[in-house]
Amino acid sequence: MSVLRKFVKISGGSWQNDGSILPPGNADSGGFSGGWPDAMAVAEDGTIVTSYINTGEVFVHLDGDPNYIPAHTLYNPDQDGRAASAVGIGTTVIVTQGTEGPAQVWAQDDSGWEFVEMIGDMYFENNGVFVSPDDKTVILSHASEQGPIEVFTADGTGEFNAEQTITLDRDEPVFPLSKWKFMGAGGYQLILSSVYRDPSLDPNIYKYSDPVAFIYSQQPPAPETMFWWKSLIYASQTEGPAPKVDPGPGPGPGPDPTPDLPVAPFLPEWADDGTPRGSLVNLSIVDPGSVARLAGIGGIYGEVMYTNGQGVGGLLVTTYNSLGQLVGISSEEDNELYEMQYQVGDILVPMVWFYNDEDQNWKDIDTYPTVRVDSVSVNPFGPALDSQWQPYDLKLVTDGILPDGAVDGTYNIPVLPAAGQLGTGALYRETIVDGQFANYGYIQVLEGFANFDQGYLTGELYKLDLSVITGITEVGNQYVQIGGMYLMEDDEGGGGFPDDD
Amino acid sequence: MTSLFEPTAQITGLYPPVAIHGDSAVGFSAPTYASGLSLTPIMQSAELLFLTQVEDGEWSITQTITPPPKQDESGELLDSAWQYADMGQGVCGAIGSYQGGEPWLFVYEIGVNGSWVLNYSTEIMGGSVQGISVGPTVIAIKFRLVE
Repeated sequence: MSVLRKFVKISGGSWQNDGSILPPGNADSGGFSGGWPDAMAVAEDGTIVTSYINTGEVFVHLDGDPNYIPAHTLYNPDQDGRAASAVGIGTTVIVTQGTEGPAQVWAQDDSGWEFVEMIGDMYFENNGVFVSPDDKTVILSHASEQGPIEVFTADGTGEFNAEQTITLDRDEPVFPLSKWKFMGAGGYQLILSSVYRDPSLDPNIYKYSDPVAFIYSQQPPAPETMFWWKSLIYASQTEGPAPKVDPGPGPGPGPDPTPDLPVAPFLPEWADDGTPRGSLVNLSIVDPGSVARLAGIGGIYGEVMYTNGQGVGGLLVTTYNSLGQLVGISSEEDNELYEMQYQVGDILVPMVWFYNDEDQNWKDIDTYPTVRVDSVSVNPFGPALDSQWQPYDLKLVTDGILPDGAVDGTYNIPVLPAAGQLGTGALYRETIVDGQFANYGYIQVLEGFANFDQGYLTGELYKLDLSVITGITEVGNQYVQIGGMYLMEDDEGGGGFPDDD
Repeated sequence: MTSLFEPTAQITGLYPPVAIHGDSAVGFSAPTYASGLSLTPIMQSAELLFLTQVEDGEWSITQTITPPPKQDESGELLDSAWQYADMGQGVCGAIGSYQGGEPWLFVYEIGVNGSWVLNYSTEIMGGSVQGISVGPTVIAIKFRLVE
């Protein structure tokens, strides 16, 4: 019998065995036939999806279920026995392949998972499915030489259109005994590794050609316009004097950069009326030295909110490589709860979270609580780390008006060194809304990225206003200053900051 | 709206299975066993190869990792090889096999200097590994129990 062994990342950054997922069903259904599952995939939120050999069933196991009983069972009776060769999962889309033929698409809605359509042509030796986390791209791989890589994009109606086929470009024998093509994808990259069995050699000996891996890159979606905050200012210095940088011309009260501290501004471009709009705020504005300094961990992660001027908000996550080059942008849809974090020196700092309500309006920010930095301190209980890095705590407190029913609290953010560290940071807030326990937000810093465990907020906007600097702190030989970020409201595309009046 | 995929690099010597995410990719220096594929090599790879996009469209093998050594009860080093690997966002899970021993899971994550650092390892007792799938916070291993 086969099982799934599950391992999860835990607080402190390490991993632990989280038990086994036993085959659902029984021997009659193939559950204990020994081949289960035939394919599996892990979603970014930890959901595991498995395709069930022989029956065409697909199981969805939610992360956090201690028993891992399938939360959903997907089965398309018209395609019995197909869902067995490969499976991929995005966020609300699952795609499975049988050993040959087109793939099956399921989508999740309020009522559960529903079969949507079949996509792809009739190819053989299907061996890979990728579904992007934003559910907008599906890639199908086929090991056979006749089968190209098929790329599909969401058409906005819940279905997928064939967008592209990719055929490997390499010289091969006319009649190789067999070929092997394997696909991997993620982060707007696609890699295909190809190898064939050399027909000139003894067929009883496994001898292969030199493998060649082909990497294909995709430009991430670009925003129409941008903006969100007036300015985001951070400072980080590990040694030596640093330049003093004007925080920029943004209107409204911004932080007062301490002259003795290095300050690198993240500034949007400003329209004539002082409203920041019209272009993407990104890290390229930061002086290259700062970028390089921050990039020693293999990437910079800046997250930028934008609006398209039609009252539609969104979030862009821009990713930079160690050279400070923009290498990726991802966007999220509206009506989602977002988190934002910034890397400040070697610290990841969750900066703000907010919610775009169902009408895609941002509420008056003055009615929402403000959370400010109370202190920055060394976390003496941080996990053992390389001596070069030091865990920190940021203690945040509220000083604003809380929503009805919410309970004020103190927010402790164990901020650990950034990407790749042996640790996680978490921002956790609990409150009571309408008598129900609600988790307002949980940010887990994971190797330089963040996952947001979405709570139960609906139509609420919160800001983490770091404009009030109470904790310019020298920790070791590093200065940390955070501040200058302002969420702005957006009413019918007008924009403007609460304090513009 | 995302764009079409455009070819950006070719890397000779990278055996499948391969995985990629953003600026990082992983593969093997020799074929590894992989069930469910049309070609099923019996060889296993001694080296796990990490690739990094060093410049836009330029990738290079930046790390070569062999399975961490394991000893048997008498202290003899066990022959080892990699079997499987998969990569998620900032996480790479790899399965090492040891002659006469149980398979091990090794989890590598990007360290402070951009290199991949071993963050976790554990012996997986009682059977054989048949596949691995890696996400940012969850790793799933298909495991065949010894009957």
